Amino acid sequence: MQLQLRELSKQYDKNEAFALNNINLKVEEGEFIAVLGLSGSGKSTLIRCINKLINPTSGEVIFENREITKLKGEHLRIYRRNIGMIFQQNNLIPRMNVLTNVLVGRFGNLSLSQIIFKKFPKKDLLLAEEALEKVGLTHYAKRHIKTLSGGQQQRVGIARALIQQPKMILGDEPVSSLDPVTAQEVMSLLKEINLRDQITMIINLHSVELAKLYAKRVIGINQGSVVFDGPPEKLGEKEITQIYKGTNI
Amino acid sequence: MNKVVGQKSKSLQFKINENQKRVYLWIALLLLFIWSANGTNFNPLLFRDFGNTINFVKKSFLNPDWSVLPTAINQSVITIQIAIMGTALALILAVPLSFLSAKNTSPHWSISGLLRGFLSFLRSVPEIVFALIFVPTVSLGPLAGVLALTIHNIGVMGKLFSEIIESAEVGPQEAVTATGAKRNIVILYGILPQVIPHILSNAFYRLEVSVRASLVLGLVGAGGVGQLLSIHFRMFQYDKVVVDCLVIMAMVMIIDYIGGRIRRRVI
Repeated sequence: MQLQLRELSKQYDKNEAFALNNINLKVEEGEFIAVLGLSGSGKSTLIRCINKLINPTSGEVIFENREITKLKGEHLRIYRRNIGMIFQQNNLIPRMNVLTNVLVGRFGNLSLSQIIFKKFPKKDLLLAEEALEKVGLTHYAKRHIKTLSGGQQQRVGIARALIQQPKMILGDEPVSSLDPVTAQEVMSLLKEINLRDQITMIINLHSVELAKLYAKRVIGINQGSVVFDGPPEKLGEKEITQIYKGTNI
Repeated sequence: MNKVVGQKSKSLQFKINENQKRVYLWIALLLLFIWSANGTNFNPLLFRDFGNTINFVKKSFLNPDWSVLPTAINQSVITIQIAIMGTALALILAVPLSFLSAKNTSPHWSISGLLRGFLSFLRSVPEIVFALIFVPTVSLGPLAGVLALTIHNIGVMGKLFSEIIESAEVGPQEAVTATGAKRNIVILYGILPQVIPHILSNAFYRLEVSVRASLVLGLVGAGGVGQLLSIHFRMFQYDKVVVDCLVIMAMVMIIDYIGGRIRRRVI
């Protein structure tokens, strides 16, 4: 078992409802998990608790037999290098070229002077080249982010995660801003990486269809609680209603 | 039935109260105006002698002494140089100060609070006061103007920049944090590239403002075309004053135009 969430809860404000309510999950290495749920159901909070971009209110996150919710400083940073992350708005750095944006994935391992003076180790440059090749952007290294299409920008985001040589990649709705065809391309790429490199994927999705196409396991979240956890084949009409049952729309 | 009538009269009452409030407001505004007119000796009857002004302008302003033009242009260049120095020095100092005072990048809330207070103090003192303070040290001349502008600009820019930093998008910051990078690297790559264009744009705007401010500083002897104007004025050389004014107008318009274009380019 690679990751375990134990009684994980998150409350942003004392007077607010729980964003996550007593979540218990076990994740094996190499799984491809799609997390489904309405906007505001807690899926973003869930994956941000895994790499501690958000601190849970209570409960435990155990990664490779280590409890990580109390990690701080250097220990936290070293832990985070294990986990790549991709975002809906790709969150690339504006006014910098593709290569620099990919190399951001190595910033956890580099010193400030190495980064400022662009003295990147040979190994990192090779990793960047390899990552760009994997996402199909070999000849784009010197291009500016602005000149790329949405799908290409998301590929740069994936390359940035890959160059971390992560054991797990978290995706916060990485395809929600893309057109259907591009979304499928990006999902196929993630699947390919998952199968070839055995990198665990936990991806938040908006579309049940994409989850069924690519995931081996679907987790449905409604108002901070897990309401479905199983293979996509078991995801029927009833289960889908359960996941997307709104309070009031 | 009674209940309905009661409601109606209540809403009518409300309306009357609203109208009364409005009348009081207008009376208050009128009193405020009369009070200010009194304090400034504002008397429309004084305009009977407006012909005096017309004669004065005719006599002294319509015969410009163009011989002073080269000096006025040279002094304008100095005015612009004062503004550039006063803005550039402030920019260099305000950027680190703003990162130390912005809530999301400050190393500690107490540092942020202290700096905010300090910047607010610098802003609240007009440039001309700083210029007067520096004259005993660096004597009359452009340097006093540069120092005065720099100090005031640090106050203004420090505040503007720290607000820009605070409103930076969290996305790129999250992305760099997630790689396991240190806090200073997150600031350098997750925030700085986002805010640089806005900082530069504001700096160019401050340059435009500084050109106008350094004109005023010239009046207290801080060099430039402002000083030239004040000298000619005090010596009643209105034929030269008019040339100074034309040169100043042209300079301000050119600077505003160039500044506006650059600002549109960087954003």
